[in-house]
Amino acid sequence: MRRLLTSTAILLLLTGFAGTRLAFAAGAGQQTLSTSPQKVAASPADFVGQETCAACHADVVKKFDGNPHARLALEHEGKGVTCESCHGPGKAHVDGGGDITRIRHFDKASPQEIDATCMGCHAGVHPNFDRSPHAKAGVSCLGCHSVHAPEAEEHLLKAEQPKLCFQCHSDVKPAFDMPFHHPVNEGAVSCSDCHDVHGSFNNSNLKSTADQNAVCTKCHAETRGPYVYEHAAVKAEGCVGCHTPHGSQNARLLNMPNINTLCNQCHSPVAAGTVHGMNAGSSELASCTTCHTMIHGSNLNQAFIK
Amino acid sequence: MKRFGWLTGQSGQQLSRVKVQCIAGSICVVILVATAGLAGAQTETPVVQPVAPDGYTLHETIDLGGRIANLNGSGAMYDTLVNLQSGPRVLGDTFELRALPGKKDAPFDTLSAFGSGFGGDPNNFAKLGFHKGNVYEFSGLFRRDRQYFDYDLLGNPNIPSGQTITGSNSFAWPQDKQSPILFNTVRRMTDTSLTIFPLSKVSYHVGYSQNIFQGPSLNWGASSPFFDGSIGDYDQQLQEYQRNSTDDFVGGIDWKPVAGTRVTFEEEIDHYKEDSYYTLAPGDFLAQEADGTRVSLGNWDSLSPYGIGACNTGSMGSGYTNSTTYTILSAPLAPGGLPVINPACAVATSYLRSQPTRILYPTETIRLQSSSLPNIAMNGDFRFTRAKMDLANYYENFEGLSGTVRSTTFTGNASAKRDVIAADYALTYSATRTFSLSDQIDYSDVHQPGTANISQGITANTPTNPNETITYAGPLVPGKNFSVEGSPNGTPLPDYFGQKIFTNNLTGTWDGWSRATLSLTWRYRTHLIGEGIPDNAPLAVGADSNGTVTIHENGGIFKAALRPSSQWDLNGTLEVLYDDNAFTPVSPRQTQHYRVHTLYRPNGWMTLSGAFNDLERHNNTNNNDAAVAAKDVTYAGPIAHQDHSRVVSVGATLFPKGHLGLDANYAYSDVYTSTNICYDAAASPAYPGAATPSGTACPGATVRGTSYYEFGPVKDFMNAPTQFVSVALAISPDNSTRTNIGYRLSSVNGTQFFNDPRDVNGSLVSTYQSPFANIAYTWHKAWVWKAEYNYFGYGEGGPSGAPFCSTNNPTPATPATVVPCNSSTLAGLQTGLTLPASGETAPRNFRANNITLGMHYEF
Repeated sequence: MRRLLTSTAILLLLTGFAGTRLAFAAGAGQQTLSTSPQKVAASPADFVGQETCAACHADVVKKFDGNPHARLALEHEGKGVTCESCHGPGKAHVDGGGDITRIRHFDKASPQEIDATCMGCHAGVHPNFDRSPHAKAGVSCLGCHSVHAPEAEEHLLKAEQPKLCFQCHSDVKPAFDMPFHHPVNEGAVSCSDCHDVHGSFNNSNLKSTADQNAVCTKCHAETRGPYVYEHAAVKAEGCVGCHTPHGSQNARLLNMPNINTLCNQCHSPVAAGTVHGMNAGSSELASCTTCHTMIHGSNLNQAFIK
Repeated sequence: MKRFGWLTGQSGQQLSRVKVQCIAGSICVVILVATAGLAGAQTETPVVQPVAPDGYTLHETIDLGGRIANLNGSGAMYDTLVNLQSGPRVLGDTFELRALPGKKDAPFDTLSAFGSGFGGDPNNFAKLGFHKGNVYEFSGLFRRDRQYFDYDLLGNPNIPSGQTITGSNSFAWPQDKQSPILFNTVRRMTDTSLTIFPLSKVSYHVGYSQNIFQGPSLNWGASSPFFDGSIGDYDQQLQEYQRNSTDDFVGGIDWKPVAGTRVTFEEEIDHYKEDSYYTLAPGDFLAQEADGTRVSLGNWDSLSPYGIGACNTGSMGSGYTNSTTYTILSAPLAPGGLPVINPACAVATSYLRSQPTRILYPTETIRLQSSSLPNIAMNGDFRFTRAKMDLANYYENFEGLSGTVRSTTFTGNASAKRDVIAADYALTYSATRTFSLSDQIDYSDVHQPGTANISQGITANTPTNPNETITYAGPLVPGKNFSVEGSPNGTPLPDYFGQKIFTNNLTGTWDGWSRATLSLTWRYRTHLIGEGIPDNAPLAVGADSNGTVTIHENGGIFKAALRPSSQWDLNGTLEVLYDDNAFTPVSPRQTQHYRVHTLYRPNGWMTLSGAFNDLERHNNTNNNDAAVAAKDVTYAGPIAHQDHSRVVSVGATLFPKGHLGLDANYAYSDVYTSTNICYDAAASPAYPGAATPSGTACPGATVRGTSYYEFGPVKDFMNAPTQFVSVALAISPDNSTRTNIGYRLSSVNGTQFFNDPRDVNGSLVSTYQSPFANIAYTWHKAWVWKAEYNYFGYGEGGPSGAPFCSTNNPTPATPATVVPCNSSTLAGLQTGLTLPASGETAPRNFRANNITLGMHYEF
């Protein structure tokens, strides 16, 4: 199995590099399917220009001047992104007296068609989106972004975080109103601090980090290590082995309300002598962390005492 | 409540809070009255427009005001959960400069800045961004958050409220009500990035991030026969001043050789500095020597008061007659002073531990993204990190008396490395217009060797300086040996951790119908974990370190996105995974994850949503050492771990009219965890709720002397059903008035197995609620008055839910049954512990009223 997988990986890598070489040779401008930029095979004569669009859609065109898609070019006397960059050539639409079936109309488009249009320009910064849970769930770019009427201008979001995310993730919202929670509602942390909503190579859209550490250590740097004596479970199971990251009724976002009970799940004689546990736990007077203060790892003591 | 200097400023605010509120309220009123006067003037005169630089438009806003906080109940808990205090605030401000079209010589096209919460709120942030066409883009973000934590974990009625120390002239050993882990820390994070030529074929980006975390905290210092005694005879409460920071520099080049392809090289260097140090907590000094030197007795976390066992009885002189007649503490030298301790008794006079640590993380990354090929999209990265941790100068010093030892100093050093090679690659092939195939590979290989070299400890048995230790020079008996467990012989003690992870996700996606998208993923994953020395052979049966654990995972993930109508979206995921091994008892061997999300928009003003999220995980490893030895089974046990998190939620957003809106959400979550475990129990049930000793059937149980023995296995569990409600109603009766009123509630009513009433739990029966109301009135075109009321209420309806106990005499084959402690089936044979009527924790309830007044001005 391992050899098969290795071979597959090598094959895919070679395919990738070969693809790159071909791309160099072929250059741009080839028509592709949804995973590639949408290059519409249209002659220049099919385009009518933004001024023509403004004849009927004056309010939309005027407002679009302040849109990041157009503003950069306009500020420097260029045209930038115009109506037809996204909606396609408008001649047939105009000739048809405004026939909406003869122009790309995003209200009627499938998520894949919408994504393909946006990724025609934005694939470079969101290369994982096609494979992301959002894409597979049919959440298109326009599920979160509004090109013409954003509430938050910076990323043209339909609403500010976390309100935007909670519209669908109503199952996650309650966690941030629990007694102990990350300050997301307070504005100090945003969903996108930990999650790359456009997809990543990790589960739950978690962001990748340079040295394969948990995303948590950007803020909680003191737990990052490397330590001489690692608490192996912290690195092997991840922070969620002991913590519930969004919110909890338990202090310190622990998975259990009692520290000793949490520790004893692994450090109990039930699991002693196996690969699963280490030594006996206890329910003595104080919490385990009374003595094992450096529970995330220690540079001095194998038992994490100091 | 104990006082801890500057910590007390936060934790002991009850008395001063009223004064603070008065002062803050006065300030707010003054500000608001003053600005009201200005507002009145402004209504009669034109608004003065700010002067914008030539060729720019300028827009600014500022929100000034303040908060008035009123609190009843636990101030410690309020500060832990809310921590909004009284005082004036800069509630928000914005600044935006925009170049007029056609302005070419401007240093930037747009500059915007935003800030919020400055003046005392626990969370503040500020943002700055500016860019110049296709020349550069800059963004910066500053965030500051204060974490205050005082959970009153030892405010426990089951811990006696004060015990008279025999031979102490009636000086009582105080109940420790202060949380032994208390912190009042602040994290300041700055993130900046600059992109040069963002739209060019070759662009450059640089960035700098800083994270500073600092502040005082209370921590434990352990001194026990099991570990080391470097802080004296007994545990001490330590004060830690935390200070650590990271400086992260990143620079990279993006090259777009052809349309749809991007290659990136990035170099990141992260430097971590830790300069935390530990001393004895000021609140520890409960006695003094005859010469006035304040001393800490330690043993603060024990039910057994400091006693004659801490003293060299042969050196106590007239203070010791026999085992029942002696004097440890004598009357203070002056009224109200500290009691005087016999100089032959163990104390700590000072302690310092310093371990300045530096870590450098350089990482090189190459990324590739391409969609230039027909029907193929791919991306990947390769990363290499060689991190180096260096603790060059470890220093630890104890002074006081422990046996004959009056001073001990440890020095040493430690170092560790982390080498990481990681690669990710994904390719999507659109075979037809309706079917695509993608494969995603993730690989990482981590190696972490390290070693510590700490001295055996240099001890001094005679006082060399009256200020260094106690002045008593009489005969003493040797105390226990000092050592550092990690390096017991003063020789380097190396260790190792490493892991390799390889994951492959092969996914087929079908999009052949406008109303449905289906995808199926096969996931294969191997996870190899090595720890200890040697680490490169399978872990031996019965061993818990020095070997390798390998886990293979296989599973399928099915996803469906349905669009039954143009107004209705429905998507779901079914994830089923199986692992052939587990690293810990709580890591799942079987995982099932069911998720459904739906969104229904019947019209432009109504959105209905719903979600179901059920994560079920089990580790049914059947452990038995004998069977392992006979090779009948692979593992010992039984562990029988299972946990689930089931959440059902619904939401509705209604905006039927422009001046009316409603947002309502309800969710129910059921979180459950259980594992077979064993407990130690105190042999003498002298305290409320103490265990009744019975069965000793834990497999592989270790007996710690005669004081403790273990019972079990029992099915430990936690059940935390939680209900959540939030409702917000927005009403705008006219164009100048906007109001919101709402309510948020999170209420848990759970239970857990109750193993030790002295080990204080968090509450599983609690309600946290926060109704609110606010109004904004536009007084003038650019002038808005704002007022908001928030109520924060936290109440614990019960300490930890109904107590559950286990039946008598469990065996590995038949774990103890867990039933309510008042169940008649126990017939007095329970081995679990019962909850006394007094409850388990100190009161942590609070009710707080917060009023925020402010004015918003635009210019």
